[in-house]
Amino acid sequence: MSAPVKHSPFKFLDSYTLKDADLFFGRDQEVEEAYTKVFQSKILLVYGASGTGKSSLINCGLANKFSASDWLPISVRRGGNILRSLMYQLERLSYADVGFEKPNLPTKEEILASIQSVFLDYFKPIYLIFDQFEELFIFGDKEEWQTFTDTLSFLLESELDLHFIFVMRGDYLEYLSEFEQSIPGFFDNRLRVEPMRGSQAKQSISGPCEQAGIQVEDGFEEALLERINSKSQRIEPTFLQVFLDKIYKQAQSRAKEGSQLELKRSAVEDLGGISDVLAEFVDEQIFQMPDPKKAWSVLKCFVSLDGTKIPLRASEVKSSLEQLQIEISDVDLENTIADLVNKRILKGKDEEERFELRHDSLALKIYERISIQERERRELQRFLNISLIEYKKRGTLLKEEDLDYLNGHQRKLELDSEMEEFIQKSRRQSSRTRRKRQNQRVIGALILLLALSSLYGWYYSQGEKARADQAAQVAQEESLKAQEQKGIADQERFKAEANAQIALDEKQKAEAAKENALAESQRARIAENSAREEKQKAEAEREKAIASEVEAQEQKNSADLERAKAERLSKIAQSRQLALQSQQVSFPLNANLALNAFLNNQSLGDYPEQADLYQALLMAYRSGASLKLLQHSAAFKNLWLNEGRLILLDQEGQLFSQTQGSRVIQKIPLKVRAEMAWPLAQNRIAIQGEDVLSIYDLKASRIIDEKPIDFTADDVLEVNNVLYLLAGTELYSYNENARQVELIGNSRAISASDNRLLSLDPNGQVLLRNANSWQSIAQTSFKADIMRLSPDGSNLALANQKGEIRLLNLNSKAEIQLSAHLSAVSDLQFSADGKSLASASMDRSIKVWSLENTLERPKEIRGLNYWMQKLCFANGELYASSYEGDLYLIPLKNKDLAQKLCQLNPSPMNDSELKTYRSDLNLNKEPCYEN
Amino acid sequence: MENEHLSMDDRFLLKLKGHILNRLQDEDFSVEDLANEVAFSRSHLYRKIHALTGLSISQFIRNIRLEASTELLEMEVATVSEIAYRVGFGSSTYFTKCFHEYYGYPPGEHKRKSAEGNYTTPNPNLNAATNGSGGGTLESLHPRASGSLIEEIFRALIPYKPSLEKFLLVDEEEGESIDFRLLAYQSIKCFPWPLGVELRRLYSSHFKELDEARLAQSHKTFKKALRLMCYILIAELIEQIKNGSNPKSGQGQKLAAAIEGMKPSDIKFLLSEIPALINPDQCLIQGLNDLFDPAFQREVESWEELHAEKPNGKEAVYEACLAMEQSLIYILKKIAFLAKYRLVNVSDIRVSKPKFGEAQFEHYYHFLNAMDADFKLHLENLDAFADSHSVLLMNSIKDHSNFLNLSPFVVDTYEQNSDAKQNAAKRDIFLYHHWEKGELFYQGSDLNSVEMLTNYDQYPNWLVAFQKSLALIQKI
Repeated sequence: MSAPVKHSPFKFLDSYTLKDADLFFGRDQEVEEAYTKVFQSKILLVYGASGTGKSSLINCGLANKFSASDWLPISVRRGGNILRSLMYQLERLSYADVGFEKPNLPTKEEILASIQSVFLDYFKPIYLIFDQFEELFIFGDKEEWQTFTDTLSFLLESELDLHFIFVMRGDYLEYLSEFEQSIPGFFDNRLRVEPMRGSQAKQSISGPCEQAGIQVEDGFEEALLERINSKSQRIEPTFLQVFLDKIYKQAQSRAKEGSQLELKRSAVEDLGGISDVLAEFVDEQIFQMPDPKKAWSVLKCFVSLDGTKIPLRASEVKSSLEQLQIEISDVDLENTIADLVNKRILKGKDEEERFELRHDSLALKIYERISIQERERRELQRFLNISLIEYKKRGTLLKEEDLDYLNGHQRKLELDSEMEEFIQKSRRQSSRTRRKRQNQRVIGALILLLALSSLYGWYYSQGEKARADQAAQVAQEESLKAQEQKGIADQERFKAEANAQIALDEKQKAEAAKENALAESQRARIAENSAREEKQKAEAEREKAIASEVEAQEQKNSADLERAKAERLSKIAQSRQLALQSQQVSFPLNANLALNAFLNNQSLGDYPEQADLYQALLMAYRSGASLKLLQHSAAFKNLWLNEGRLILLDQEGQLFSQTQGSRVIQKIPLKVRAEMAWPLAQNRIAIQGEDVLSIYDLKASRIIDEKPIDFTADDVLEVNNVLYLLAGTELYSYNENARQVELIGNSRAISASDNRLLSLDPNGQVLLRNANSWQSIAQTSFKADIMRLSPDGSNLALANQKGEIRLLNLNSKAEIQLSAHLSAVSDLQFSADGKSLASASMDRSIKVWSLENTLERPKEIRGLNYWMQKLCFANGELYASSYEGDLYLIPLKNKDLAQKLCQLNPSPMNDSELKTYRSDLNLNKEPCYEN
Repeated sequence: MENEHLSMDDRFLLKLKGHILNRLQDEDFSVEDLANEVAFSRSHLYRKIHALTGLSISQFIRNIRLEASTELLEMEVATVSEIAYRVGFGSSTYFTKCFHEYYGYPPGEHKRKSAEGNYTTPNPNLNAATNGSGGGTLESLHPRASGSLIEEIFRALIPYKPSLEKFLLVDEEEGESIDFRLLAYQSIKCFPWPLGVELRRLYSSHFKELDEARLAQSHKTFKKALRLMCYILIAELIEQIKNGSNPKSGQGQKLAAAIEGMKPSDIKFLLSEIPALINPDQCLIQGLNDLFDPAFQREVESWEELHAEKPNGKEAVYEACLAMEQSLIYILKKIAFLAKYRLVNVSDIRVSKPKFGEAQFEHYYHFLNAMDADFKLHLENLDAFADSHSVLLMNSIKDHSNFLNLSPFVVDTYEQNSDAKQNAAKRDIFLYHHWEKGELFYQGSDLNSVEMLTNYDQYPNWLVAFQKSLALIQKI
């Protein structure tokens, strides 16, 4: 009797599916996390390195968390086009005829209608799982991305119980930034799948063995994990499965009939490294095939130029082989593919009749087998294909350098007539361009020649002139000799002609000069003059040439400068991108990325107080520490600094003080219950009690003045020893000496600095208190509820209940609108140096503007538990009191934040993280050492 | 005298027939009415009629109407249309259709056929007329019984939400038929999430067969409906006590103990006692005390019996499923008035008080009557405020003064730890389950498990609300 044939409980390169629940181990925590997250938003992004088991986590782990009536998964791979594939899957599931005509790309309305119909057929929440989503970026073009994002945002608006799960490799995450623009929050709900930890990996060995009744020798797991990855603590599940499958098969072949299978430590020792196991596997399988050479050629078609797998139909394999001049009959091709499927190298046909490699790790192994020349040829072929498409779309032909490169390789390529014609056309165009350029060059050369010959002529005429002078003297003495001289001169002339034909004109002039000199010295002098003019001309030409050379040099320098600038800008952009990326990961990686962005910001001289960077540092800091300084039983209604201490008034009417940065507050004894309190000069405080206004001396700890009043002040300011009280819209003055309260006008808001009191009257007039009268100094149409005058008195900040904020310059009268809040502004404060303005709003955020740089985005503190009632600047930090009694201390300088972040001691980045975020920037594993 | 030779069962059928014939012209005479006439629960009556005739209750009623029509047709007392109305059909087209299916020829030919003696034996099992002609989709995905389940519940919702009627309008001449899928979709949305989600599951293709799984889901849906009604009653009672009404029953301690335990017997007790303690005129939910009549009690009791039975074998399960469905139809029709109300969670109320003007209260609502667990946020600016951080049953969300606060019996876990997302728990609407050792236990919509929600920010508030509610009830 033979032992029952058992199937391997290991998955080799396949991913786990719904029915593998009994065999799926080691991912409990991730499954729980996925199950929680899938309800938090309509989109869940699952990412991680290749081989970490993302697909299994979703299709097996997550799927089994749901009851069958609550889970309708629709798995979509890109195929030829992502939307067409989605539609195909929907049609497959639908009972009703959705009536979609295949040749056209489905519209978003058609897709929604199909999803609706499928929902009504099944009445189950639909989970659209886009597996290997990176294929959209590897194989799709921008147009496909765009249509997909449009459709996605359209579907997200629908009322259906529809969820999206995107599963992709982490190294393609950067492509998603475009998605984030059209679909805000695309990154917000995400799950990073890490390779397995040792204990998880052990579970994934022992669990399936237990299920399948396989014995495991003591120490087998440790030995195997050691072999797979002796250095790192993390194990890639795919590799583990490949090993286990191999060991299982060996054990099975060695086991005696009827005996129980056992996985032994000795089996591990016989194994090579993972790379060897995979390579060996592929080699072994291919070697057994009838025509290994052909099999390799077919297999190579399934690998992209990046070393990833490509899904292909048999016909597509055939045409890509043809392009490589490899002939294969249809029957042969079909048999080879079928063989590769049987040998577990290729996956069986999908619904769209495509085959593909079982795993990216196989793709990499095959990619390594492709020779450099072959890769070059493939690359060229791909380049030509893309160029042809470009040409058809936009009419762009091949460039000259492309054609030059092509010349060396064209004979190796199999080109169809269309491609041939395209290349020919490019060649014709290129030679036309070349001729045109040659003509330009000839004209240039002629001009240069002309300049050179003038120069030569001048030199030559200098010599001639000396000789002519001599000859003239002799001529005066002896006409015969003159004749001889003439003969000599003639000879000289011939010589000159022979030597420098190119300087013909000059030479004739020189000859004329010489002849004249023979006749009379006068004419020789004329010749000299003329030669001098020529010299000057030539010199001018030379100077011009030098000048243009200098100019060219300057242009080059400025081009270099521009390039350096562009490089710097690109790096700045990358650094900002890094800051954004940091916000998508958790501590300590976010801290490391944010700090790296900070270091690069410094070294590149980018705007140091940049808002994105602030956001990144703050988020990283908040993931490790809290901004909350202390928690009080009642909200603080007002707070301000007084001689280095923070004075706080709470909702209960009690006054407290706090030494800066301390987490403890001390009660200030008051005899009255303060409805509200405001700071006055010289350690005094104005307190609104019940029908009384008290002045309290902080130093003396006692009330020094009390004045009964029959109104309740909303705001109190002190200017030139006079108190101004705003109650509703009525503005009163109170002179402490005269103890007299007097109504002095109507006002929406008041503010003071530098002993100037400003009031905003109900008509929008900004009035300055001048002795006992008002003087209008500006006018605004903005209906402000809060007004603050900057410390130097030059700017007025205004805010209202709608969340809008304006900055009115009192000198230029210019009004700037600052980016608004989503809800009412609760407080507005200038910093002591007047360089910053902070606003708190009921939208639970705080914004801080740099007034030297109002074009920069404000720094934002978001995601606070409650909205902030009051703000107070203190030495580059901001105190904020919440509606619920919390007091926050918020660092405002990027540098301070970076330092605080380092105090959290984030552990350094590992190599794979460093690799993931590699760019042109200097990335530091331990940015705190640099900081 | 003839009746003396009849068996008990035949007599019972005759009695039923008598009740139907007595109200022959009343087209509103329903399955419930017939059950009431004989003081049976709906599921009990179904089992009885089905065992004796193989028909469902509505088929039985319809067949008696059709048979009665033949006499009138033979006598030619009126036109076919008039006869249709006389035997209780609302439309002559529908009458003709049913007649044709039952006898195999149209009513106009009846006189001639009967004269010729070509009387076709009626086909009592032709039930397409009542089970709807929803087309292939329905047949392939849902058991036949779902047809009447879906349609009956849908029709019961129309009086409370008249806009639903349009889904029944089809042009039969054009060959159109009612899309039962849409009726199912619309009905689910009419019930608050904790109930709607169970109904959605029951309608899902997973429970396509009349098997044990479907039976369990029907029970679960029924139980959820009872619990929800119980909590609505408790909330009404507490509200009335708070507002000064002083009901005295001497049962306060017992009621409180039942609320703590919430076992099926407790639910039954609460459903029978509370209606007598509340003043119907002061209830937000109208028609609550009409609900709890003897028929209701009968239905709950027979559901308990059904629940206790463990049917053995495929056929017994099949039968139990059909009977259970009758109970479910009964209860869901009874509480169809919920379609008038919206279940919302007020997650926050923000006050904005401009210097010149009245305070406005910005309410952040999530609607909990939805198909989709990703409940939509809605903002409403009102000049007064509702209860915040609470699940409310509202007449209209613009009417802040008229709501029934169901917290802590129904809670929403949406507002969670915004600062610490990694700890955020699953977003769900939970129903109170029971009270044990000073802690509240809840049941969510995704699993059968009962859990404590102590990690949630609002839990302490729920605890206080629960204890105060209990204290109020103990005094009555």
